[in-house]
Amino acid sequence: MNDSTTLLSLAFKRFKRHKLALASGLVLIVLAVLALGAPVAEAILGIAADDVDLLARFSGPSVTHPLGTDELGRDFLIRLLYGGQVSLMVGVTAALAAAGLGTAVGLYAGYHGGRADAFLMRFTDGIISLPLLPLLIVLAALDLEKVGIPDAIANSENVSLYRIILIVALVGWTTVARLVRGAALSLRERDFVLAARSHGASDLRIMGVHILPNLVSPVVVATTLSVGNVILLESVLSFLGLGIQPPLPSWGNLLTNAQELIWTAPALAVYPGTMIFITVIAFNFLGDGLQDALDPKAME
Amino acid sequence: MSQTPLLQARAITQRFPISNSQNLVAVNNADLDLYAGETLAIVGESGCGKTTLARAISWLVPPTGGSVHLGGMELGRLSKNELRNARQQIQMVFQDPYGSLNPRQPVGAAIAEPLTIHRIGTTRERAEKVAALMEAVGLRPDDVNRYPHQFSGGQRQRIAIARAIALEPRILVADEPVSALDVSVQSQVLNLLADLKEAHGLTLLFISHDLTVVRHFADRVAVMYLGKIVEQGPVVEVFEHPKHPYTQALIAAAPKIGQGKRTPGSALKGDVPSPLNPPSGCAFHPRCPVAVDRCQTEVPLLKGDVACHLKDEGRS
Amino acid sequence: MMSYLSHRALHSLIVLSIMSFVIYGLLGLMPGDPIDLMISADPKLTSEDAVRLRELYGLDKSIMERYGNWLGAALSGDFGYSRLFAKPVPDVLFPALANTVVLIGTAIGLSLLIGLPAGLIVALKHYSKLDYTINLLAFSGISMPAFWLALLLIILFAVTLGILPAGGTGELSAGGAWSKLQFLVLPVMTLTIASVGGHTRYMRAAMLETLRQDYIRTAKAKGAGQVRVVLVHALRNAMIPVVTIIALDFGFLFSGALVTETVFAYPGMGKLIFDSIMGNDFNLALVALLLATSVTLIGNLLADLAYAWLDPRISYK
Repeated sequence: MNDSTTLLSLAFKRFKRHKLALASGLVLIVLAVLALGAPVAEAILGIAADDVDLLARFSGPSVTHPLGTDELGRDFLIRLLYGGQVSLMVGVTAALAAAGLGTAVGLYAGYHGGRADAFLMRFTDGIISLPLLPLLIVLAALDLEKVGIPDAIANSENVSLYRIILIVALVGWTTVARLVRGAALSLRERDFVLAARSHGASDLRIMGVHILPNLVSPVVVATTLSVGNVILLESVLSFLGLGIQPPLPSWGNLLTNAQELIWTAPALAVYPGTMIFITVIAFNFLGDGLQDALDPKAME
Repeated sequence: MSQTPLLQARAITQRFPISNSQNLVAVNNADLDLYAGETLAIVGESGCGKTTLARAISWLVPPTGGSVHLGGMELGRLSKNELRNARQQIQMVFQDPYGSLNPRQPVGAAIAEPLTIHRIGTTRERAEKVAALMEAVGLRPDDVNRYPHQFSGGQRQRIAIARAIALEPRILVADEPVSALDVSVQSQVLNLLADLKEAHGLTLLFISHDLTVVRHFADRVAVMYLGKIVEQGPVVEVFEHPKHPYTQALIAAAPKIGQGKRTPGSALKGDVPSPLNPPSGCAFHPRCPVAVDRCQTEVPLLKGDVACHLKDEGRS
Repeated sequence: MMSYLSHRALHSLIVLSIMSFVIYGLLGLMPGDPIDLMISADPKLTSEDAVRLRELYGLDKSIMERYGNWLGAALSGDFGYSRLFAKPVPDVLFPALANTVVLIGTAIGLSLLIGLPAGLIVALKHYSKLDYTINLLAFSGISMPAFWLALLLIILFAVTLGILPAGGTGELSAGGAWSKLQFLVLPVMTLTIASVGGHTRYMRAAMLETLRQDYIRTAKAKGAGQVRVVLVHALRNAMIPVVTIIALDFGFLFSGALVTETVFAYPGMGKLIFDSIMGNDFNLALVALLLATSVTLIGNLLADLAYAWLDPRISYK
């Protein structure tokens, strides 16, 4: 009998060897805490995020405004933190949604093979070969009422949030789909799947109990790596005015005005971009570290 | 031994399309009878099709041709549900102890899975049954929540065996169950199989390439070459008086069994041909020390216990 | 090989056709009805005029009919009129396309010029400090939002240093080559920095993979002269994935160029796509988007073909 460590703790041990990945994980936790702590910052500074103070526009860093103020005199630090909430939330949610969609498609295609697989993969390839940003712009610019979304939702405050998560998931599922399909194709040939069939297991059971749990590692890695991409996409769309709409702040739309203000307050362009940069690179390092830690060859 | 076989396989053929033009015929028109309570061994070299035949007979990978009758039912004609129920009668133990268990499934759940699928018993009853099964195969019931990688190869085979008898099948198909294990562990697992067979009245279909094990273990044996059964019969008879030239060569080459009875010219020439391009007529004729012209053109059918033209004309 | 080529080409054509319909439909869901826009621009238009105009432009027909009409016209070379620029669509598109090709071409060229040798060098010096640093830099390059990079460069070179313009193309008239080239510098710099990291990492990974092969180790054991011969061979093998990356780049950079062009107000395809969508210029947007799709599809096709051609192990049925 081997030692009593579980697969998870073995992976964790290997993960800890990656200093950069570990550091990135910590950085992300800190960022998440800071972003969630936006209300705390409001309490400490004694101001709300939307407090307009036209007399104090573009003021530099001070005790009352640690990062200065924007063009409406709003405290920039607080807006940055709230923006972080939105950007991080969109990043993680959209990545998870895309991964879920991709896993469903890939699992079905890989397990069933044959024509279903051929069709689904051609479809996936078709989507992959489309120009990403132009397509997202079109989708983001759609008039929701014309699409048929009921008024109550279309005009709500958070609709831009739902919309961006939806469209990013709609174009982002393909990577995970291909990954899962390949893994499913090889997994279904394994003896334990044959054994399950000999016990009379249904297709659904085999997919859920035997194939899916063995796919989790590569899916986790791919999803983590995709969060960075999603955050970049959201920031570009928000920057162009098509993503998260004001007054909801996101790191991307905080930069929208920055371009016009580049001559008056260049610092306002630096902070949100730096946050995006740190977050994306942290997720990339984290994903790399997870990839090595969860390497199935090392697990056998 | 009862007169009617428990399982009757007739004209089993398994064809795998390799590309648009080529087919791999892994099993070619094989007949097999399995009598209740016996241990039937299938022997042959790697690639002769014995695993494919075993999987075809248990309808795990249904054959492209032929029929299998189990206790009166024809497996090929059953509905999906009927087949699901029929499967409880034949269970399999696979060769690779590392590949036959789901690495992400605790072994208790793996052993219980057949019961879970067929909704046998309550959760508690299943748990008790799993514990009993684990004890029966020589494992500690405390380890029920551990994962396969925490066990040794021999232990994993025990888990696989426990899982295979969970449904109390009538037939247990063991596909080279000990080939991947250390020699020291092999006999333990084999003894376990023998004990379980006694205790549960199982019929055992035993695939192996190790003649020593087969000699020790089996009642009857069938010899396969390139997808065809060339000889079969009681194991003592076949091993001491092999009729087919291939069997003769196998026996002669096997340590301890051959006992140095090398008849001149009994060593095999050449290599096993590729199953993609089998020789015409009798598949063995290019390597056969006593082949005649007829062997090149006509496929010998299994008559009595042997498929050989030379044994036809005047039984020797 | 030929059958693979025709299969892939057919697949691309099918995707393009489907996309033309999809984009046509999606653009129709944009805010702003063209007739309403006309009405708001010209208060003298009555509701009867509106009905008449709808009929004139065929806007009262079903979407399948309208699409069919557009398709028929397009296939015979008539791509319609751009509302925003008051010119036929091709007259607007091709100059913009040329500008973008110049931009992307220069950027890819520079990026490869820097990235490939860099990747090669650090692959040979695996695990060294140089490798670590370059890898980190490369990583940073691809983790940065391109538009932010653009803003930073503007802040540095235009605002602070004042030596480069913040956007546009300036006047077409006098002044030497520099007066026109200066508008290219920052956009090219942005795109190059954004893609050089990717190229470096791919080259590095490809070289590392090839160098790990056994035949390399054998050659090294045999001596230095062998190493040189083998390096050339390894290089050729490593180029296979790199070639595919280049072909794919053309598609990717289209998206990247879109943002860069918008930030720098550089009159290329990307900015055109954006402006036409936001400006409700249906005809222009449709054709521009289809052009972008075609380029991406062709890029992918070329990448697949290059891969199949260069790697003798792959055979396609």
